[in-house]
This record gives sequence, structure tokens and C-alpha cells, in this order.
Amino acid sequence: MRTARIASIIALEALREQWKNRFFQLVVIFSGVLLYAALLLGAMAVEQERRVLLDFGQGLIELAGLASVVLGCAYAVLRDMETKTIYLILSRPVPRRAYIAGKYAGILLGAACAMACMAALHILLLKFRGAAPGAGYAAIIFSSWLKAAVAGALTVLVSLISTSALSALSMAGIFWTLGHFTQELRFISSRLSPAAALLSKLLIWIIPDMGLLNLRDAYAAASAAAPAWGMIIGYSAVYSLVCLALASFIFSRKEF
Amino acid sequence: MPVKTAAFVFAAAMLALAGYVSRLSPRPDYPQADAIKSTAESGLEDASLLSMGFRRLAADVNFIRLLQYYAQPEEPSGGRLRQEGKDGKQAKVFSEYYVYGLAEAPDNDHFEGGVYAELKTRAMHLLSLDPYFSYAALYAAGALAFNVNRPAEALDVLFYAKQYRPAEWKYDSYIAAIGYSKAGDPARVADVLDKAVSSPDCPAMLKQQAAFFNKKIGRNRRAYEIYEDIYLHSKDEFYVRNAARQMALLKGKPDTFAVTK
Repeated sequence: MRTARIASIIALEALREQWKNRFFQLVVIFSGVLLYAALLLGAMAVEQERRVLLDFGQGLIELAGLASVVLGCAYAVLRDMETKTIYLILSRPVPRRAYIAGKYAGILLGAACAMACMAALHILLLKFRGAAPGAGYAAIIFSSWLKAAVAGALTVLVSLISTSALSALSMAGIFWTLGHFTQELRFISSRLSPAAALLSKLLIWIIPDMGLLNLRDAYAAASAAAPAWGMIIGYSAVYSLVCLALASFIFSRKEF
Repeated sequence: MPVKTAAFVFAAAMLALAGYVSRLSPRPDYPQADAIKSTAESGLEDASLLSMGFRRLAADVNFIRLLQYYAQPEEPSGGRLRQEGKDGKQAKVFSEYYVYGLAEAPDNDHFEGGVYAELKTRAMHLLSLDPYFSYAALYAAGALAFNVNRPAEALDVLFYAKQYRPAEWKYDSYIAAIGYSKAGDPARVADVLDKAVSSPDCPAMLKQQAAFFNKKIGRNRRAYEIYEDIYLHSKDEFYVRNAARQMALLKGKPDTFAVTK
């Protein structure tokens, strides 16, 4: 209970930091401008303006959310270590796992607020062009946030293992990319020798399953079954918690 | 085993277990990366967009390119349509941007013809990215079957799209219309296309074809109604202007119902 209270205080502080961060503000403003620019691309699709405006906007919101979460997670702990702020925090009775959880939650909250603002702007633009966002809009934005959450947890872990923000960002990018190609990777692994296939399968299972969280494609294929929310939320929670638990473990063994 | 290593192994095992369970859930049926019919120029772009999970966006970008490609007025021999300059002036090359009302449109007499050799390749490429993009399939098939007279290629596009949406009745309507068109039966083509015209996502080009076939068999009132629908609802300048012209020609003309074989 006490740990959760401390984590929530750190989360609110991280959220405040995130809002004050110039890069974060820039991402949000730039995404807003790009969303507006999507009107032009939509107009070029003539009779398919709604579809293009919808896809371009949702894609931008996802990228902006991902950028803010991954950058926030890559620098959150490392910045405190560089500026020595961490000594001030950890000199108080702050459990290290509460510190990690609080930072992560604050960054996710910031991204959720930013994505909600961008989605509101996007819906306004769609309405302005006489189009409706359609069924599943909120679910798609939520799944984009879940993707960012999973990538963010992985980034926190890599940033603590490597103590380099750049390598954490690179690894997040690589896992993000591979996570969308798991079907293809499975196909490749089925062509390998049994031993290599087993090893590659293990690796494929460890790579975050972004395909599961990509609800844009699921909604587009109307023949597909309704999203398995239990699986989607459960998987995101387990993946993020395991990464954060390992990150907390590594952090707890660091000496300051 | 040191504690740190054990923690890593345990975490990896947990992630692998979660990954194993998640991959048991059903996924929408999309062509795998090796089945994407990328062109030499589009391979990198396709890979980049797919790797970010932007399959639909990749199809959208290629649909805009397809529209622009098909909007470039072509000569019957295949080159870009030119209007000979008078008094030694330079010949005018028409821009595809007339679709958006940003350039001068060629008149209707000039618009007949054109080969559009890459039309099917481009359509198959974008459908391999998003085979559920039914508007694109209908648009490309309509252009191939009724405008550039390559019904076999149109059927290839439709049958490919139908694999992913077997219950899509508009594909069946188009396939039937192409069949009747090949058999030289404009009345049946008009009847079949008429069903598709009532759908809100029917391309203006197909509506124009339906109106044309109705006009051809003397069903002038129905042709007028379809042109009016294009005039009121289409966002494509070219079709809107043509619909206005056709409405003026058809206004007050009685139905003759001259069904010809």
C-alpha cells in the first residue's frame, strides 16, 4: 500500500515532467499540425477521403504516442542518474520498484493524455470533412497506447541493462519492427532445422506480439472475429510487468 | 546459477510463455510479406510501412498513386495525352491534377483511349497490401473491364479480392457485368451494375458506366438518375462535370427501352 502511494507520487511528478518537457510538447504540436495536413492527403484520395484521413490520423497518433513513451522511458531513469537527482530520491524511504513503476506510470499517463487530445482533434477534423470516425475508433487508439506501453516497458529494461538511452531506443525500434513481422518470422522458422526452429520459436515468443495489438488491421478485415480483449490486455500487462520487474531487479542491484 | 542470470532466465521464460499463449489467438487473414506484389520502386516503402504496422496506410498511399496514374490522360497508343499547339505553340501535356480541379481537364473527346499498361500491376500491389480495400478492387476492375477493355485482367483483380471477402456481393455483380459485357448484352450489364450503383461505396466511375449502359439501351430516366447521383455526391471533378453535361443532354428525353442485343 505504501509502495503504491509512493509510486503514485512519483508518477504524478513524472507526468508533470513529461508535460514540461519541450520535446514532448513539440511531438504533440507537430502531430497536431500533421493531422491537419492529413486533410490534403485525404483530399487526394477523392472518394476515399474518409479512409485516408482516418488511417493517416490513427497512424500519426500511434507514432506520436510511441515516440513520447519510448523517449520518456529511455531517458527517465538515466537523466535522474546523470543529474544526480536520483541520490535525493533514493536517500528517502523510496522503494526502488516504486520509483521504476512510478516513472513508467507517469510517462504512460502523459502519453494517454496526449493521445486523447490528438484523437479529439482528429475526430474534429473528420467531422469537419463530414466523415464519422466509425466503430472501433476508441479501441484502435487504446490498442495503440497498449503497444506504446509494451515498447516503453521494454525500453526501461534495456536502458537499465545498457545504461545508454541510444541503445535502448535502438532496441525498442528493432523489437517494434520485429513485433509486426511475427507471422513472417514463424513462417521462416518452420523452414529451419528442428533445433534451429526451436531456438527461433523461443526468440519469436519473446519478441513483443505487436500483431496482436494492431487492431487497425483486425477492424479492416470485417470477417475477422471481434478483438480478444482479455488476451490483448492480459498479454500487454504480463509483458510490461515482466519487463518492469526485471528492470526493478537490475535497478535494485545498482549502487549509488 | 547466479541470481542475476536466474532472474533473466525466469523473465525470458515468462515472456516466452506469454508470447506462446498470445500467438494462439486468431489473426485476421492478410497476405504475408513474401506474398506482397511489390514493384521494384515500392519494396523499401512497403517494408517500412509494414514493419510499423501501417498496412492500411501503405495501401492508401498506393491507391492515391493509382488514381493519379489513371488520371493521366493517355493517347490510345499509350503515351501521355498531348493537345497539339496551334500556330507553332508548344503542345500541351495534360496534368493528372485536373481530378482535384487544379489543372485544365481534357475534354471528353480527348479522354477516349489510353492503355494504362500498369493498371493491373498497381491494383494487385495495393490489394496485396490490403485485400479488404474493396473500393480499390472495384475501381481498378471497373477501369480495366469497361474503360480499357481488358476484362480478363479485371477478373484477375476481382477474384483475388474475392478470396479475402467471399461474401462481397458487389464483386459478384461486377463479375456478372463483365461476363454480360463480353457477351454483348448491354441490357443485362445495366441491370447487374444497377444493383452495385445503389451501394454508398460504389466508385463514381462504375456509376458512370451504369448510366452509360442505361442510356445505350434507351433507359434514359434511370441514366439521368444515376448521373444526378454522381453530380450530387461524387468528389471527383471530372465525373461531376461529365454528369452535369449528360444530365443536360438527357433532360426531358423519354424512355425508349430499346433493348438491343
